[in-house]
Amino acid sequence: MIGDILNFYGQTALPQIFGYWHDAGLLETMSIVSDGVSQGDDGALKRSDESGDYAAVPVSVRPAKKGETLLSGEKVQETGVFVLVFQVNREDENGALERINFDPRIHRFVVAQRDPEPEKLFAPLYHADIAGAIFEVVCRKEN
Amino acid sequence: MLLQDQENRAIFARLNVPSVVGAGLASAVFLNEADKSASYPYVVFAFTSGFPVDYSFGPTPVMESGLWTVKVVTDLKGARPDSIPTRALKILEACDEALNAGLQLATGKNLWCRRFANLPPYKELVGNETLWHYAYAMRLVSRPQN
Repeated sequence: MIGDILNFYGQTALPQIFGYWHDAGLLETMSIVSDGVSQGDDGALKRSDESGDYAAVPVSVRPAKKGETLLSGEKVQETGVFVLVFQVNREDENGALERINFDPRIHRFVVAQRDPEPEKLFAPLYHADIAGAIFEVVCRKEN
Repeated sequence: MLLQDQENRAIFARLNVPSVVGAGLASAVFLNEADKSASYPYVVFAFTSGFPVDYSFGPTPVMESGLWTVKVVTDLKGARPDSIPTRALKILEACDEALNAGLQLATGKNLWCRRFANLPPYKELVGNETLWHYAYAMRLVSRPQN
């Protein structure tokens, strides 16, 4: 059955392959974070502190197109579009399989600092869950 | 605190009550923007239009008027077992009744809080679901000093 093959690929093979690639230094490391949102006493939404939902996720980062500057919010800003690829299932620190329940409405990606490269923050624009094995997410770079 | 901020807080206090938010009614009330996880139907209110501020013979405003939109957003699932217009208009009526009591401002005084005009409903397609927006405009008149 194709489902069995995809499950093996996504839940057994890929977590190990991503792990090897990461250990070999071929991938970056990121954490997946989200903001808590609550309501103020005027009924408006307010942001609380960022919380890390998944730490140390191996990820491939590549630019999708060249960056640009633009005038937005009455100031000059710069933005770039990148593609981040990471596995849907990964092994946690105890070796147990964990599904990354990526939610494009709330999650952002913090790719870890790698001297002299600074930490980089990405916000999802378009996302694909490819057969429950790989997430391929087109992101806007935020810093 | 700016008068508009006081009015927002007072509207929220009037609307975030069991006669508006409850079973068979709205799931929540928001200013300007609904939470991503809000379930239908919900109420969103927002400042929509201002009028020139009235001054006396000095720089101190004596009266400020404005229009707020009070809106219900729902889909068919959120409206059941009612139809969408029945549920949406029922919630708007509950909002209207709650706001008719007038607003309690922190330091100012609310002089007028009444429905100004009903607005035409409009729909939008999200995925395979049609969302309906039912709204009315509300006129507020307040003065900064109590």
